[in-house]
Amino acid sequence: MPSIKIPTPLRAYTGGNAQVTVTGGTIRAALDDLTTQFPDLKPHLFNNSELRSFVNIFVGDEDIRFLDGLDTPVEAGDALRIIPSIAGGQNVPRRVDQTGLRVGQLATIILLLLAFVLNLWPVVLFVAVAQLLGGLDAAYAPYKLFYQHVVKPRGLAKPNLTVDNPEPHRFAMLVGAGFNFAAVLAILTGAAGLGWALVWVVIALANLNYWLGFCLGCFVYYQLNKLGVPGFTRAPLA
Amino acid sequence: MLERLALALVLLLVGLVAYRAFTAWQLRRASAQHRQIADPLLTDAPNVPTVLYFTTPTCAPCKTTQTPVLNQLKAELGERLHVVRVDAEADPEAAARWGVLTVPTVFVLDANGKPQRVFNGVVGAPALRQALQPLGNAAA
Repeated sequence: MPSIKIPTPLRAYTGGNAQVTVTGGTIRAALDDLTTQFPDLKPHLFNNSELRSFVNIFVGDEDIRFLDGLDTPVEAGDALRIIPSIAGGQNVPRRVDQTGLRVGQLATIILLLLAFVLNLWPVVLFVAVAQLLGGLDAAYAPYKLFYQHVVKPRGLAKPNLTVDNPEPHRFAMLVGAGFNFAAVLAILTGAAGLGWALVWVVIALANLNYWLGFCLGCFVYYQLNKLGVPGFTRAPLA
Repeated sequence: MLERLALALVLLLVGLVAYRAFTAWQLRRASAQHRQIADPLLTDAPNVPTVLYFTTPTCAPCKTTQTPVLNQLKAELGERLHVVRVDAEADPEAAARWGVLTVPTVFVLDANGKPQRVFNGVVGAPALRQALQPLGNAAA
């Protein structure tokens, strides 16, 4: 049966146990079993039915955020770990799946080119929404769903987890979303030339990121962090 | 629709041509520098091909991808490859001399220090090996 390693701060709620054996075929089922065994633990792991943001769950060395989240399958003998983010650790880096980012960039390029050629502003709006949800790290962000449920299961691309800060990449997505929303607004209010020019700015920046690995949004984020602008709290990796 | 398709293709081609022209300019400029003066970055370079790697402390792809690639190549080739790493923020004059606009930027130099290739953005190990192979001494 799988086991879950309990971090020190939470052992008070597991009767002092550092490791708990659980049942369940998914992370969700395993955590449900854990919180059934130790009900006092539940409010420290979950906010309603969602994991609290500072709770990180690992299966072996893999963060479930880069697998299938709470639906990640668990097998007998798997060693799960609960790792809380360090409180006040503003510069604790996490892992980012670079392949996931590249899939999003490529999708943006292809969709926006299609939108331009076919003169379809709704596609631009879709990309804007996708980037907005990606930038907000929403569970149902289209690019994330596409990567997790289409690209990865079919082996179309191999995950590439690297130690990196996700915030600058999310900021870059939000900037892209801003440009695309502005583009849609311009097109709908009669300034189609301006609107499509804004779309081409996003296409250019996405290409720069995809082919050359240069993320302008990330660069701006770190410059704002350097200037001490509130909200831009992640410093570059040491 | 055909007009828009043609315009899209033209714009993409313009972008590609602009990038090629830029890298050609970078290489010409670096070669001209090499002919005129011995660059201080290369004074200690042994007589083997050199990779000149421009990075900055805020460059995440440098840390996560480019540096590990160069470390891997250096481990493979040992003394047959010389790697010079430059912090473009700490040495902006060197970055200007070499026409560096973005990081990572990697120059591949032959055993005489003459620039042969330039890669703007992250370059993987296979492309670097391919660039180094014709230069001798650093067999792929």
